[in-house]
Amino acid sequence: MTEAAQLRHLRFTDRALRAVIAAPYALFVPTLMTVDHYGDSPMHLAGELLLALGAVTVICLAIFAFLIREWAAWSYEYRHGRQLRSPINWDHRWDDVRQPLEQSGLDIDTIAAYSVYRTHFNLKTLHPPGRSLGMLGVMSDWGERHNRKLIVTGAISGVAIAVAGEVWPGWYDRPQFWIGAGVVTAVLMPFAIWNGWSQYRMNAHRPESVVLIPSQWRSRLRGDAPTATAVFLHEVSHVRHHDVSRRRIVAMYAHFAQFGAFLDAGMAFTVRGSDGLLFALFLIMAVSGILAVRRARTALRLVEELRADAEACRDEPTRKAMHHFLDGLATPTPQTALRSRVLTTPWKLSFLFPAHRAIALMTVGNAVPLLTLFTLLWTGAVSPAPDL
Amino acid sequence: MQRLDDEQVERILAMVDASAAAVAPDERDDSFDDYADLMRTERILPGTESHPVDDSAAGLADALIFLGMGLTFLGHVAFTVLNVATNMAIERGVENAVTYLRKKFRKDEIVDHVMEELTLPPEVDPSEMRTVIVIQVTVLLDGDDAE
Repeated sequence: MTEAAQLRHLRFTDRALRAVIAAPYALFVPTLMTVDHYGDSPMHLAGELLLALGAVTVICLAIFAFLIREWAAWSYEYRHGRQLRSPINWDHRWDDVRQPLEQSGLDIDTIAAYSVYRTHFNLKTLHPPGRSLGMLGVMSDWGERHNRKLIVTGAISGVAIAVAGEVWPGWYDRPQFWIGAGVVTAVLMPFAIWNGWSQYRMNAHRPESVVLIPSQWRSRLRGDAPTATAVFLHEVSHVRHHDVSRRRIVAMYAHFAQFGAFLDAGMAFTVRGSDGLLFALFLIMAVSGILAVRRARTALRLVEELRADAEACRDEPTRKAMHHFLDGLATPTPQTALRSRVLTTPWKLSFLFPAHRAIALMTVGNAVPLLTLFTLLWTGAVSPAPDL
Repeated sequence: MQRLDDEQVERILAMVDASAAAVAPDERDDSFDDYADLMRTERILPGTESHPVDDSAAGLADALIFLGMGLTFLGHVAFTVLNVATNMAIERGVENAVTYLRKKFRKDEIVDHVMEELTLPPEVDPSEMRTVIVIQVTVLLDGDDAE
């Protein structure tokens, strides 16, 4: 099959894998609606839908807050660590690397790159997250510097509040407390929204990635234009598709999606049936959902690497150079072996088997049973569990 | 990561320069000045900075690649040579390590000690490594600044 078909397959698979990671969040809506509808105090259908959508939105926003903390930590790390200290200005000494890259149609000045000294290395792309402007950024750095103290303070305050609740029951249940809490929230909320919005734009919508190049590549790749071009364009593909920043986001949401898949599997207990059967269904749904999310996360990286290879190696010499490079690695892994095979054989859809397995697992093992139960229950074909 | 003093920096640079001339002449011509600048201004051995493991980084391969006997690797070897030599002298309660070593030891003995101390990547040929260490020990013991 052609290169265009390969890129199309990779694009579709990439979307499907992201859908697998989003699925537990989406499926939480019918699960919540069911629990609401057949629970103790059912509401109007539209109310139930809105409530479920609202709950999922709040969950996603809360996870986004974790993501902001992670961005702040990495932003601080990259700005204060010594890793990114020698930006490459692509002056005449880089000409031998620059020329083949420009011949392949790349505007080299648009790529941020840093050179580093290492004995062992790997060409790689990083996402040093941006910091919010002004006071918010200063406070975020302060929070990062005092992270441990803040966590300890939070834990101690939590325990203190719990103890206070035991010693003076209802100490907070007075108008002054709630007015105070409301005022504090109203004052802080605009800052939180502004910070969240600017963080989203800087690190998710238009993230800036940089390529880290071992200083030795310059003399090592001199005169080997195909390898220099192939490996650098591979990284440029990661930069162009914002793969690195996306990996951070996917990792965070996939982390919580596993718990989501477990909760969604609880849908098995909303219908009336034999305990053993329902428990087996619950296990199948939970295990399939969790495994599918984990495998989708791994497969996404494979798809990104295959796409980067495909975009970097568009002619025979670069394909061959990349193939030799991957085969020459001291410690080959299944991923590099597969990438090497893809470079030398005509494209087949079966190369994406690990990705398709994850998609199938989520669909057959979790989503279809859940939606079937939902349909059967809401159409009245089966009756709800008595103690729901 | 260890801060180096001026004397250590200059000794390591002299050792790296001499051994790079033998095993990595291209890289020496190309980057030695940058390498020396960095070491003189920051007083650290390039390549030994602590760097965090960022799981989301997109590497070219999911394995580390030994970059060969370049300046960074030679710097590590020179640092080890200097350490081993200093330790050999300190064990005998001597302050000026280089003068002592020059009087008391044959170069081969010091080279043997360094070979024992280094953990070599599998890609490195031990005999070539030995050549590098002999060059570096020679620079250390015979260098003008060693007095």
